[in-house]
Amino acid sequence: MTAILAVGRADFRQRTRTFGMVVIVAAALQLGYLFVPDASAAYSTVDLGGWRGVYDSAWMGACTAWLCTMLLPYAGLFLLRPASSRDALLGTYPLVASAPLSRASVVLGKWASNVAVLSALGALLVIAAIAMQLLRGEDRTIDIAAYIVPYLALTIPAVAVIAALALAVDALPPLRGVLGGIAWLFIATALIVVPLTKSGGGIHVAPVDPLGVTTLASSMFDSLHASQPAANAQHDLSIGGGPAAKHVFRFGGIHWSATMLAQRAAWLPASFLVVLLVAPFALTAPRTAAKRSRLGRLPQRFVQRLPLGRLLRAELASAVGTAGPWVLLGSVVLAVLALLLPTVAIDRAIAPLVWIWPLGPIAASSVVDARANLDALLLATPTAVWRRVVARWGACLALAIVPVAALALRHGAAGITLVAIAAAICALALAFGAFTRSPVGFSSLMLLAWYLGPVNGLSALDPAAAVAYPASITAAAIAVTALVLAATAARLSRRT
Amino acid sequence: MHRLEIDLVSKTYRGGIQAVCEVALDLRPGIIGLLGPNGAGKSTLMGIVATVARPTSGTVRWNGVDAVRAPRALRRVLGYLPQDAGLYPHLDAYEFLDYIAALKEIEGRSARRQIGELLDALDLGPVAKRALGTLSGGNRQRVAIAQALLGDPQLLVVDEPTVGLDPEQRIRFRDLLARFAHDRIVLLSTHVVSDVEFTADRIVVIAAGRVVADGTPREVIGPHPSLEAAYLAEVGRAA
Repeated sequence: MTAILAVGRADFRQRTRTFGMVVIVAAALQLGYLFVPDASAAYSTVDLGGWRGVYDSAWMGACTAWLCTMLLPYAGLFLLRPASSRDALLGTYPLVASAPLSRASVVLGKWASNVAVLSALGALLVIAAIAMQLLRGEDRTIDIAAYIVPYLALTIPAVAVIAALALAVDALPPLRGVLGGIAWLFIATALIVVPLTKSGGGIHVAPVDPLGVTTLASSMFDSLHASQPAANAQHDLSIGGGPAAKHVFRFGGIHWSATMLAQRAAWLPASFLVVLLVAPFALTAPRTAAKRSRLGRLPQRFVQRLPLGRLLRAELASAVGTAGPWVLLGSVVLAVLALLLPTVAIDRAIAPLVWIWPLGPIAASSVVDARANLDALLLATPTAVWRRVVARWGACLALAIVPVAALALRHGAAGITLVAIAAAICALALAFGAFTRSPVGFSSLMLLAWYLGPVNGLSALDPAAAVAYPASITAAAIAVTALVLAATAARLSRRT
Repeated sequence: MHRLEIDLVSKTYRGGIQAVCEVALDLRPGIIGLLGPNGAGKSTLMGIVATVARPTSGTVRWNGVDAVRAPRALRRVLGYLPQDAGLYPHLDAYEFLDYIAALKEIEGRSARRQIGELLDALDLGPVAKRALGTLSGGNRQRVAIAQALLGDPQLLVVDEPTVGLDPEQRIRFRDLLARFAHDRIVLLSTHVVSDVEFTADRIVVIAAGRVVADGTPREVIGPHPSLEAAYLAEVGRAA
């Protein structure tokens, strides 16, 4: 047990002492602030058919639990997905693999670390919610139990499940990259949505609801109907950014029964069981370049013969080697499909795939110097850093351009917008790599943007919608590309 | 004749850790062995000379030009092998050296000739077309050495270059350096005394960020029976 906790403690420290964690904490606190809008705000976050609770401890405690259930599964994308493969990324895998501690103990330690990271984030949101209750001032009486009980009964079991599922996803080698991120987005959404849709005509506590969303929703509606019998809100629950609630009511809190508490507590051993089941498959040896087949070298050989500048050719060969032949083949297939299929199929299937397909190799290429420990060596050469940055950016763009260009052709002249957006995305990848020295931040943010934009049609994040404003978006994308590349070069030029 | 002046260079990291303290060295062509225990400040000093780290105070001059303010002049004549240097795992040795040659602004034909010569000199011919990620540690280190020697550098800064080399390769590397250092400055940092004992023209012993001994091997050995004994005595005295 001591050893498991030691593994968890070390993993927790390694993960929380990063710049990425500071960004996540800042983003979480900002969300905590936005989640409790002022009475005069034009939006609401938890809305029951036009009703919301008075900002007292009961409502704020429940709302914090809502925020945790909505936020933590997606935060898991940043925090959890690389958990078990972190040792491979950091190069500490041989130390872990050769240690006498059993693999199950190590994996349990990782799970404990996952739980600790997300629980800490949840606790931070609880503290922020107490501050927000005092700030909004609708009811300044603080009832600590109204915050603590939902945190313990709803958030902690939810965190245990998320932590275990993240390890399960990471235990499958094919899901250790961008594909795992995509899978995770759908898993996280399913954890929230499926229990709500399975709870029948009304919202009742569902028996299988790891995050406890139906417990929260049914408590809120029960309380609303009890205190406001005239309220005609049935089950039109809105979480997020709906129009401002017209009415307020006094939420009576969640009435916990022994059965409800037992149901919630059962998720802890269930998570533990999942971890034990996936333990034999987690923390397996990372894939090494030594396993790359001759087929994998063919595209590199081709690139080395291209009449390009030597810098660009070398960067391209490295990027192509990182991507591997199947990614390149997939790009060509996507390009052909983008040219041949009808518009409906393009919009629904091909366009989203085009924007996600090269994400992993681009993210990996952005940190290849840091991974190979080449920063100092390259900085000591007389070539200006901006030339290296531009060559690397060109190589990343080359990985993405084939299917994007095919998509752009369908839009005629306006299609240039898509190419400009791809260029800006590649520049952002390099900037993230230079500033964070890790591919996780860029790939996680891009996955979220992809999920909201190309997949769910949020126009602000959907390149397809940008084609309607070709001039302004293209100009903005070019400006962003130039600025971000300049910032990247400045960062890489910095001497210690 | 080239001249590298390290003028009262100090380096203090955030948190107040002083890695290098007022080091002053005037270096002329030849092999200069920089000896010191782990954590003595050797790599920090090498990084400052290689222009990848900035001194907190003091400066480095290459032939009279301030390399801290204007590093490009020094970088054009520099061969640098940092400690734990990495390589792109998906490139082969030839491709990687060609990439570094491009960064060193070596013209294509000249680069191809030099790469061929270095691959032969370092016995890398049989593995030149294999992805670097598949090479043994010793072979990777030899590729790293080759990249430092590319471009016929007038100043060679090599930090723990013999790590991972077998005894035969260590001897070959020492011979290569001895031939190479004819009219160039070679600054070789190590904590392995035998790496510099018979090849260095000058030995600098550094401990706790300060120079504690500086002279020809004979001068540094002084009354001690060997360079190793002298080194241990100087380091012990500094501690």
